[in-house]
Amino acid sequence: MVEPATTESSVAPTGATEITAMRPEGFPTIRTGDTDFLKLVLDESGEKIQACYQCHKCASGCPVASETDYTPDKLILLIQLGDEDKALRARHLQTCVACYTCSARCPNNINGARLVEALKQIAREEGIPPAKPKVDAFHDTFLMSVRHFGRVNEAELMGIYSLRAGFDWTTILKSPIMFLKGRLKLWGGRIRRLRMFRKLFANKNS
Amino acid sequence: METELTYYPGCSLHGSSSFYDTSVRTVLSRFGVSLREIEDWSCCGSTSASKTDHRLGIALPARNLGLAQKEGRAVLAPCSSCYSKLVAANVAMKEEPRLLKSINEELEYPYTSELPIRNILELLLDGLEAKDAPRIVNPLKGLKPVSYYGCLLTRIPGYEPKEDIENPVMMDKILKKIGADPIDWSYKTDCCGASSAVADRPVAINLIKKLLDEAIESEAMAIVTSCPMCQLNLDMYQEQAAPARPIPVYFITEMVGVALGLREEMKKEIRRHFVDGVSLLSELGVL
Repeated sequence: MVEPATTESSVAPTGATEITAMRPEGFPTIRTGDTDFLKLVLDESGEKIQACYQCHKCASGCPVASETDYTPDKLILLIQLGDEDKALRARHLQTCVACYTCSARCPNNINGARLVEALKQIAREEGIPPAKPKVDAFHDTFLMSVRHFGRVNEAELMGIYSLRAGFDWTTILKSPIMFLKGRLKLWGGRIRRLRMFRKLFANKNS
Repeated sequence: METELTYYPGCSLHGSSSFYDTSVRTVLSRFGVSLREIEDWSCCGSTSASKTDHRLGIALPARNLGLAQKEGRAVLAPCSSCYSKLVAANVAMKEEPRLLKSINEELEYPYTSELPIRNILELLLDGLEAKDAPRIVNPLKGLKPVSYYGCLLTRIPGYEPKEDIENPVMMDKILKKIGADPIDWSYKTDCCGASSAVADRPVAINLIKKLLDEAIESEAMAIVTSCPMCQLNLDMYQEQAAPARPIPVYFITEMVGVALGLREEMKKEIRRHFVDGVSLLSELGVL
């Protein structure tokens, strides 16, 4: 049971507690007592997010804070309030660049980047479309290339990613220069016993 | 200092940053270090694997460490992303033994006893501080660079890095040892955006621009890094990020190589940068 300490609460008819005050703008009225989502996130991430006391250190160090919706502190609040929908549709699940600044600075040792990964994986399992599909398409294409050869073939990665996410002139114009500088290899090699290797990808998400 | 190391180049060093692989090998051979590449190594999964499937994010580096375990030596991974993922597999061995056990069941060579993972900065500094260190025949006098670590060399959850996580200084020490005059700045460990340069470009360009602008603001002549992703992003997207002037982005191994007198060898590699890195060093009379 999670009860934010700073909220005044009143007892709702169902017996659950309705939070009425100190609610950040845009956050819905949530009945505490609905901790299923919190438990799911705890299981998936292994991060003790109940320890968060909203110091916002993660947000102040987040390099993409100005371009995202919910920094880790806010994601944690959403989870604590049981707002599954907002947490799983957050743009931050894609905007996060996995720099681990939040993870390194959290006074309660919460690995924010790992939390984002876990939310992203739950969203995928539940079939929730990503807020920024191009980012997920990149990671999927990257892993597809790894599964094909055991190593990333950068030409394949960029080619297929362009087909999936749309052509991008910067990349197209740079490609010949990259090739001339020996920075674009058409063949990256492959590993042996790929069949056994591909078993590692058997998991639901990959 | 180890004289024989198991080597994990990773995909970047076999692809877009193959010239980093060359400078790593060339310079380390000068220190008397021989590198033996992991036979049949595969991708570490980088951020894409851990973002998609936590288990896969551990399984991919564990597969490589399982292969390396046969040799029993410390493993060098010059790429920061590879390095952090290999270390993450070591962290998982301690913190998630059940996960590693289940992964091991699917590996031909299970990863069962922890191998030390080394990064390129540790090796270079060890090499330069050794009693029989090669002579700095061509000190980089007059070069004022900023050292740029990026994210993944020091920020690895569950791992205590060998230097300060917010203000690492090993690269500055190396640069001083080879005669350069590194400038202190506040953005050493800020993020370059990594793969978002491809998948979420506006976000990445903002990050890249901040780094380039701050380097120029600190009156640095160049940026020095050890991460192929950082080098590529900061070097390749300068037209899009539009800093006040172009600024060369070198690998630390290129700097050490030049200082050790490997001018021609390093010139060949520096020519493969997008932003001209030859002129600055030539004007300083070191290349």
